[in-house]
Amino acid sequence: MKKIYKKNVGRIGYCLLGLFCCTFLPSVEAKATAKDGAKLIKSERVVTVKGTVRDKKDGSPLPGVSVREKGSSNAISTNGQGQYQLTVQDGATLTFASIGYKTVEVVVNGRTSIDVSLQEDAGQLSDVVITGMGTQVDKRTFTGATSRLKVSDAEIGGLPDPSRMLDGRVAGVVVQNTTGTFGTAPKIRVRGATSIYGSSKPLWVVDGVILEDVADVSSDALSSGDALTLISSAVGGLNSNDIESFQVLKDGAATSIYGAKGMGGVIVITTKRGRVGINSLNYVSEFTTRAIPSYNNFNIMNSQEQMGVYQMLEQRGWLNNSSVSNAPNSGVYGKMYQLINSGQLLNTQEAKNAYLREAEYRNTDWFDELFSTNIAQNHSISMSSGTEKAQYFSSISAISDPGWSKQSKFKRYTANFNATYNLRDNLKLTLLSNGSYREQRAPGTLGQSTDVVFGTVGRDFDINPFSYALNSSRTLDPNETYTRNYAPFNILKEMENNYMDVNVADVKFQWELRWKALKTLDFAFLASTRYQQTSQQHYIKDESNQSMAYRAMGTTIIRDANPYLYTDPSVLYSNPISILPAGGIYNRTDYKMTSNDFRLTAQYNETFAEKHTVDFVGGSTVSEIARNNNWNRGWGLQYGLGEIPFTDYRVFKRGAEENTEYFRVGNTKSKEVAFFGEGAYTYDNRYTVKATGRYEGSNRLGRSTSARWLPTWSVSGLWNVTEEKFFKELNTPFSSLSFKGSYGLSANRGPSYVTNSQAIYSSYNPWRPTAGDRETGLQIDNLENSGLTFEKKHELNLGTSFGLFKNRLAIDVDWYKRNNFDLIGIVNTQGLGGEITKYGNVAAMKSSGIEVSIAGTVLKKGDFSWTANFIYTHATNKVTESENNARVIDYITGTGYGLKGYSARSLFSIPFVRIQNDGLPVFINDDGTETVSGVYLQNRDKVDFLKYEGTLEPTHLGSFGNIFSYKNFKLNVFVTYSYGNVVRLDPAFRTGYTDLDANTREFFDAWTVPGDELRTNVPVILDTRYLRNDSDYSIAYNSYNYSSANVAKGDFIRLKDISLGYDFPKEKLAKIGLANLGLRLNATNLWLLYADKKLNGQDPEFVNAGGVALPIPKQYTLTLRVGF
Amino acid sequence: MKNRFLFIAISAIAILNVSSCKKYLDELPDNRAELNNTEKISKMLVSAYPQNSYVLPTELSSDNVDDYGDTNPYSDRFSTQAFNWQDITETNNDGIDRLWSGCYSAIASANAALAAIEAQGNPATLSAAKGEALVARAYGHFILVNVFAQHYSPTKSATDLGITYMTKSESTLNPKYERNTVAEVYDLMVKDLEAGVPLINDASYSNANVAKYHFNKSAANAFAARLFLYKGDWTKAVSYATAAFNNSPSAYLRDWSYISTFAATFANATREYNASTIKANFLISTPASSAALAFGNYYTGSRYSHGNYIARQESILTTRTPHFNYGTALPAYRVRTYTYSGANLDKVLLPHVSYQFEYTDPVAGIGYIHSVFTPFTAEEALLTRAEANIQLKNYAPAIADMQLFVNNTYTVATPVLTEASINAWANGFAYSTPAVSTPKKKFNAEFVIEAGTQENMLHALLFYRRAETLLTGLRWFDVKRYGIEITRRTIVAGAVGPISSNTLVVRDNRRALQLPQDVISSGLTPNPR
Repeated sequence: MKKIYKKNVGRIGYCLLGLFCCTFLPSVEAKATAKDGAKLIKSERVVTVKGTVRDKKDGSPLPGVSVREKGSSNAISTNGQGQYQLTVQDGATLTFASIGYKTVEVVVNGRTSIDVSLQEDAGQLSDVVITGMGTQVDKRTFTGATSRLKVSDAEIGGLPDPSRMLDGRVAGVVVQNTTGTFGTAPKIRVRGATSIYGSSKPLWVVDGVILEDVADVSSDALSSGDALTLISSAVGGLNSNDIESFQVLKDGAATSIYGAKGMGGVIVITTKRGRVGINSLNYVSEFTTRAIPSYNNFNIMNSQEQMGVYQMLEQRGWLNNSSVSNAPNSGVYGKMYQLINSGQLLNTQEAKNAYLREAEYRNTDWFDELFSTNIAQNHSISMSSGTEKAQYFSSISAISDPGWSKQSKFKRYTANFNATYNLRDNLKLTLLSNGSYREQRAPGTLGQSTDVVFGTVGRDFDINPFSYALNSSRTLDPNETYTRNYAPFNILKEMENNYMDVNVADVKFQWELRWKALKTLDFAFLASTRYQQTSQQHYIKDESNQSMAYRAMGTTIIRDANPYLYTDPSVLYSNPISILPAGGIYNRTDYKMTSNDFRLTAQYNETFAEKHTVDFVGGSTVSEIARNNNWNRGWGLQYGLGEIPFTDYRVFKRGAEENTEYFRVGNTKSKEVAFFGEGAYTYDNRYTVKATGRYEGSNRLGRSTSARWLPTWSVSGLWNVTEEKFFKELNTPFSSLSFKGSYGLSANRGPSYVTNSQAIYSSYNPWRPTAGDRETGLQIDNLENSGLTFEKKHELNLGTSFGLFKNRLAIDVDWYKRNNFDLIGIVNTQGLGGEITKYGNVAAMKSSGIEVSIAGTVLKKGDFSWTANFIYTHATNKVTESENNARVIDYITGTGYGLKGYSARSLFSIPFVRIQNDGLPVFINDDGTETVSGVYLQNRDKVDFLKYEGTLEPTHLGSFGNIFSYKNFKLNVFVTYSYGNVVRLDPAFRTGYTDLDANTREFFDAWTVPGDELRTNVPVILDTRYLRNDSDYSIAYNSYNYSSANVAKGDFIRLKDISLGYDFPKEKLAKIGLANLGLRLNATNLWLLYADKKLNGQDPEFVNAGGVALPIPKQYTLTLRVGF
Repeated sequence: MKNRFLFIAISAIAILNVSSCKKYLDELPDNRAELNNTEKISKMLVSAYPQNSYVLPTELSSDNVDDYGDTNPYSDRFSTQAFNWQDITETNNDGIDRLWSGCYSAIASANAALAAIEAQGNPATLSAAKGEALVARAYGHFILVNVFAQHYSPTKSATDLGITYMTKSESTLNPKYERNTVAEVYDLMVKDLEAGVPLINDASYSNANVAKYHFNKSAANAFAARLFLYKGDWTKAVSYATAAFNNSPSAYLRDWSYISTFAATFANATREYNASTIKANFLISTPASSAALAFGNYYTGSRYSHGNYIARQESILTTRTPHFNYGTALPAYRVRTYTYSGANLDKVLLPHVSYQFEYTDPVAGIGYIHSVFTPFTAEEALLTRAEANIQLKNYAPAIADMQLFVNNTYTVATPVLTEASINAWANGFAYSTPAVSTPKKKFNAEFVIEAGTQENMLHALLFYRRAETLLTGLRWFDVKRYGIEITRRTIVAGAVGPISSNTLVVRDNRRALQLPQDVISSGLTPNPR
């Protein structure tokens, strides 16, 4: 036995083996018992039964209901009138099953006519909590805080990423749509932040298997707009039509079984399965169109107003011929001067005025140029069938989205097959496999970077259509070529010549074996392998602005100023030359991931004397995740010449001198082993107590054995008052009432860059003055911290749920308090190891919150009903322990900072005082004095002068959903709300503006003449003379961008979705052979009912970071459902 | 019986379980390196050299700079603190916190390599690496003890606060340490050096250029010579210095004719002066530092600068030199002196520190400023030997070495350096005072200096040494060694203006720079103030 396992399963097997062998003993006995019980007594008489199946609600006949003789394959479906006829054994039991209805069993007992009414089943699965660990727990005895969301209730047409469905639907879950681009993940928090430097992302579990991200994108990086965010959504490859439900596990009792991964909450997805006796084929198609954003919603100047600003700039010396015609970036004025200099335009005031007048009247609508209302289609077809012996579900879906903006098209195909076969009465095998493939295009983008000296966050060569439209002057002619990075630039042409193709392939193979060894004892074994490969190919073609910039040297001024040119240091008196004389650039980034999971669980459930129920679960898991990423940059690929590379050798020389690489490879492997157990005892369905423990080891912290293992646990209890005798006698309006409480420890891995339980050495290329001096060395990245451990959390959860007025109103309330400790934080040491500032488990945080969900039927009269759902979440946190070593710039930028005594994502501002009498902004500096450009953004010592603005994460949020139905019509109105946070406004102020920039109308209020400082807070548009005198003014203007004058409230109320659906009457459809047919029209993200006026149309959730980020559009979707 | 068998089987599996889990989890999570072979251990030593430098704080603390007044806007809080011997709290690339962690980080790399060599059982293939690691470890501590403690003194060092000598890597998050005394630190450095220097093997580096960034034989011996000079162990200083240039100094002296072809541009001259191809450069350092801006042809840092007054009265532009009286002409160097003057600008420079920029983002123009300089040169080793010989009263070889230095550094037809010329030169000056500067500064050394010839010879030697090490921060250690007092003054219109009451007296506590703020606040004993 031992040897066989060794051969087949190898080392991985051993860890599982321990548990398996321990459970082997009782299972041998169990086999024998099962055999004895399998002897069935057969009767001899045969009868033919007839009847009609009706809907219990309205008495209408139900076609397509499966009628089956229990325990055999003898079955039939009802006809269009709901009638059936079946010949069965006299003693048989008939099973009536149909999707959406409760299954009914009737014993024949010699009757020949049996009419049945089926009751609609709203929450067919709601009485079970799926923990994702292979076990199911009766909801009535589940002690943890959890919410279940059925997809049929949450579905919003036209949002193919399932993670967006959770928005506002589940109390305690915060979904911030920082970007709406497909493939990017929304920022999801379950009960708020759990870590200061870590990402606090929830764990996704699909059909019992943890879904790992292919690349580690921290939650702050989700809003960066970098290309990597396109593959950040863990569930982007899932077809939402395949999903049955979401189960969100929130508190320690519910998540502690996930141990050192579950601290940020767990979201368990269950996909649809085939069911016994139900045959169906469903086809769903969605057609979505999105509205083009309008300038009416934004405060951007039109071309006439913009030209007025340019004239002011011209007066202040910004738009001279000499400087603008050779400037790196220029628009209308630059073009005009270039035309004059090349003799194509007369250098007279009349000619210039005529040229500029044309631009003044142009009023280009960049949104119209760059966005379209193209229709996106989503088709999904699924089949499902089942007999007593085997059940299967399969589906295929295809999305084709031509793109809201230019170069944002994508296609996604998914397939999902799962089948269950009952090998024996007590042995069940399930096979699941699903795959998805996606190809997506995005505008070419490079990474975001922060200049800590002047405080600007920038992105080279950004061509994001949304931010282009917002930031580009409406005086520009969309068909004309202007100058950017010294090279010709036209956004439409650039879109064609600079783009990325992202391909994502994802397959999962899964195998589950369930063996009911005894009536009370279950074993389950699960093995799964998932492979995901992502490639990002960034094409920067010969004609793109980015390629041209590498060879822009039209004049000697440009040649000497262009930073993309190369000056060879080994040649004396050399002039800058191009290292890209021909062709373009080709960047490729690949991410690969293979994950393997094995899990073995045993569950023992028995009730003694009808009062004492015990439920024990034990299990172990082994998992292994290998990740690989590659990046390389090819220079001089001649796209126009048959894609032949022509690489100048100086590319490598320059790279060697500047210490930049042209390719990179990274491999990581994470391995985990865990043992877990759970024991619950229920007395008389009234009292339940439960304890859960997990012991988990991972290789993440290196070979150090001290930090490798971590135990997590929880204890919890439930009091089901409804079952109490006294309660039943009290006769209150409460139709149900229960209380629960839990306390537990869960943990998390902490930020991915802190793994130094042993010293981490990495190779590096030290900078050297010349290429001949270079060598590769090793350095200490992090010193050993032998005490490094997981981030941990103690959580107390108290909750109650009750139903009122015969369960017409169901209310769930959960209150929790969390004590996060051992969090990774910064500690300042004596530095004798070589690092003064280190990361260690020194920080702590406290958080608490309350979650309320109220569901009820407001009105029900005849054919009309109104049900409403109200969700409210309140979550706050406070860093209680943390040393601090951040720079001013870290406190004031939009991702926030966790300072002791404040919330984990706090935003601070430079205190703005006033505009002084020359139009410059005045701030309070670190020594309490007033200053214009004296704020030292890299200051680490004195940060007390910063003003606390608030937290960046909403503290109150929720939704209000209403469903009105009348006969077959259904109107759904869904409103989400969120408040309590602040947002940093886009940095709009600079020392200088070019004739490419679009300004907001606030610039009308800018200081112009002395005295204006009394009426305005908008600083002056600087004269070039100022800048010549003091280059530090850019610090002043960036200080203004990050000052208390440039903050808005993040509060909003959003009409998230409004939909009208119609289901055709079933009896009529039956005549044409359809089981159901429905149409639905929904409008999503229709408008912000309320938002801070200071936002000027900016979406408070959306972070306009450029790159690939796009806001969630206003969209309209038509959904058609056909069932056979 | 059956039960017993099962029990044994289960126990066996349980034990296997634990051990196989251990193996399973032993795989490293990423491509982190482990120091488990010769090549990797040697590569570890690439990072055993501090990536931060003492140049800016020590040069600004020395008597090589004057204050050009608060009307000069080109200064920052850091240089003001360094110039006035205040506790330096400013944190930038030149901040003392960086110097502290930079040196200790280099030491940590050396310690990691030494631990790995130990674990490999000290094989012969690793003896060169072991030598380099020991010398590098001593060098890191050498910088720290000289910057953050009083200078070595045979009588007081046994009680003077030194720095902690690290011989092991730090393994816990926030350990607390005690400081060793200066004498202990020197003893440990000597121990490491004497064990390490003989093991150094130049052939262990990939090529001769790369060897200039490591302790090669010349650099290691030059370092040992400097250490014994600082310690007052003159005989050893002589022998190590001799070993540094293989007993034939003229073969190692700087090839000025090549460097001076680049003299037209200051940046090119500094680059070539510090090039790895120059034989006289023993060890090259490429720290992230703004020293090259302050000591280069930029306005930056010109409030506290080596200006015309100091250059003409005390240092490189003094017309009366021990070897020649230039009269009204300025002394001519093989590569010219660079004088920059204008409104708020008065800098007299030798091309000793090279400004180079490492781009991390070429478009935004962001990156690191590197101030490339050469902490150990053949000339400096030669002057070390001369100084030690003077202390040993071997005047003839000392004069010969100084003569060699003069011939190579200055362009003068027949420079003649004799005991008499030196005595005549030194006796021609009064001792320097804040109001009237001369090249002759009063010595208050811990060791005995005979008045007359020996003292005069030392004045001459330090005069050359000051020129040789100008702008590279070493003058501060000479000031400490000889107990030279400095009084801060302001230069107004090219002449001495207000003289402040801020005098750095003999054994002034401020001669040991204060430890970084974070280090003190996490519990290490601060220097007395």
